[in-house]
Amino acid sequence: MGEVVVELKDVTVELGGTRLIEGITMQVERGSTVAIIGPNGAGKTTLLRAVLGLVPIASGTITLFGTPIGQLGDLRKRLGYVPQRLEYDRYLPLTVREMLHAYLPSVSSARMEQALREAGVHQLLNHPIGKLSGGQLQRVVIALNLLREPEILFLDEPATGVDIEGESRFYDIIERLRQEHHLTVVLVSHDLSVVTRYATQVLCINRRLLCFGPPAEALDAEMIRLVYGHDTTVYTHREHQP
Amino acid sequence: MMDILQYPFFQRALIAAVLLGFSLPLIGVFVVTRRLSFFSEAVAHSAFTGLALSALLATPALPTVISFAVLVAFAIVFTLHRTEIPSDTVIGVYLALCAGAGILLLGILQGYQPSLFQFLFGDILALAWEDVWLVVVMCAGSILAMLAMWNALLRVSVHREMAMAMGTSAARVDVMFLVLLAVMVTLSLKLIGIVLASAMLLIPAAAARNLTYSFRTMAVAACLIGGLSSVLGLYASYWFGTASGSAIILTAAVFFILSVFARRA
Repeated sequence: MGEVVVELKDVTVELGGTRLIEGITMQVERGSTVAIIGPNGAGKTTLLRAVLGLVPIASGTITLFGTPIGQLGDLRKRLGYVPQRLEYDRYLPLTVREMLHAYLPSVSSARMEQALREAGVHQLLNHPIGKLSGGQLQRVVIALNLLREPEILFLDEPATGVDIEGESRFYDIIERLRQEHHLTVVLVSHDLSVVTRYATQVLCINRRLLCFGPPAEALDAEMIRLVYGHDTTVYTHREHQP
Repeated sequence: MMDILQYPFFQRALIAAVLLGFSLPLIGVFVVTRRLSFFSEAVAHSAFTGLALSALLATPALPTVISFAVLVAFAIVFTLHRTEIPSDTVIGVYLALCAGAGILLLGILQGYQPSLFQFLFGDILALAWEDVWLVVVMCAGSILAMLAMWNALLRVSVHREMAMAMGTSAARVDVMFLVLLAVMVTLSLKLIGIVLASAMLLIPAAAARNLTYSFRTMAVAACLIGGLSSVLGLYASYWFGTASGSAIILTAAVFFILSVFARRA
């Protein structure tokens, strides 16, 4: 087993007396891609936000790099995060360069351009972020994360609002970057094709842990029905039959 | 035009107006883009209550007023975090609370309170050299503070959770900014009054927002508009024999109206 960089033990999150997730336990190894899947309202985003320390946990423990989440301090510089759509106030006048500069004041324009090129959005450095499409903005956030050179990249349904072709390209970019930059990737998705194509581990939740393991082992037809509801029918494509 | 410059009262007013006209809009760009204009109004009006309180308790005016303004700022932020009430409603509640408490305290205090009226309306032409030095120190301090937290403020303004996930303490940034805002607004009140302080905070930044899609350009333009409005407004008040504060506000308003027409589509 490789180095564990994220570890959750029996994590429960409550909000206003309601349990949003309960008793989640998992480990993420360095260099792996873990996909968190589940139906709407299953607590996927809540789990990711808990791992990032953005919501308090009611019980259990979360450690990143062996350090409890509340004591990360400078270790947070080793984390990257791509939120579900960058919903920001469009009244804020800001160019891509200014946004990147706010996080990385000492990075040169040439390096910014290179990161944008790697993320598939070159020549946008001086564009106002308010004028970018949702897909372009998400790639700018990927470029920001690349410049920060994180060890773990967390993505919360990063391709929401992007068309199907754009979504596929988006995940191809993340997979390429994972390999080139030796990233560990933890992503929330509701798209099974993304999971089977890119994830090395899948975590299925519906408030509670339903399965955790390599997609080929963890995701059988029964589990998919359990995750997405019993009226789900699983069709196996003849080209993808085992 | 230069005749008036030989009078010390005008020299003092010009120095204070230019410095405040330059430094208040630097804070103002974040007040405008983070939609805190109503918040700054509430903090400004809390000074009235703070001053009545200091008269009642016989405590030094400026420390009491600043402490009360910071307290109100924290109370608003605390209430916003604890409840799900929209921010304009929470701020409105505290604004009403301050007004009610201020009127109540004024009723308890007997007789005319000249310092209260100075705070409300200010008089930039009546500044002493000690006041000008206070302006120099507070403007230098606020500009340094703003430059120090500029990038963190921008990160939190763009996407609060992304900034927090990547290591920015959003709560600390908010507290530092709101304390700076409360202190600057309160200090400005004594010198230039509630109306002019609020105007200098908002109008140049709003005008600059109309002219650009770059935050840095917006900040530079806001400072220039603020400084220029102060100079032109002061001279206009001399030429037309009008109140100086009103002339400065109206000059800034002219820049704002021009910016509406100059706005890039």
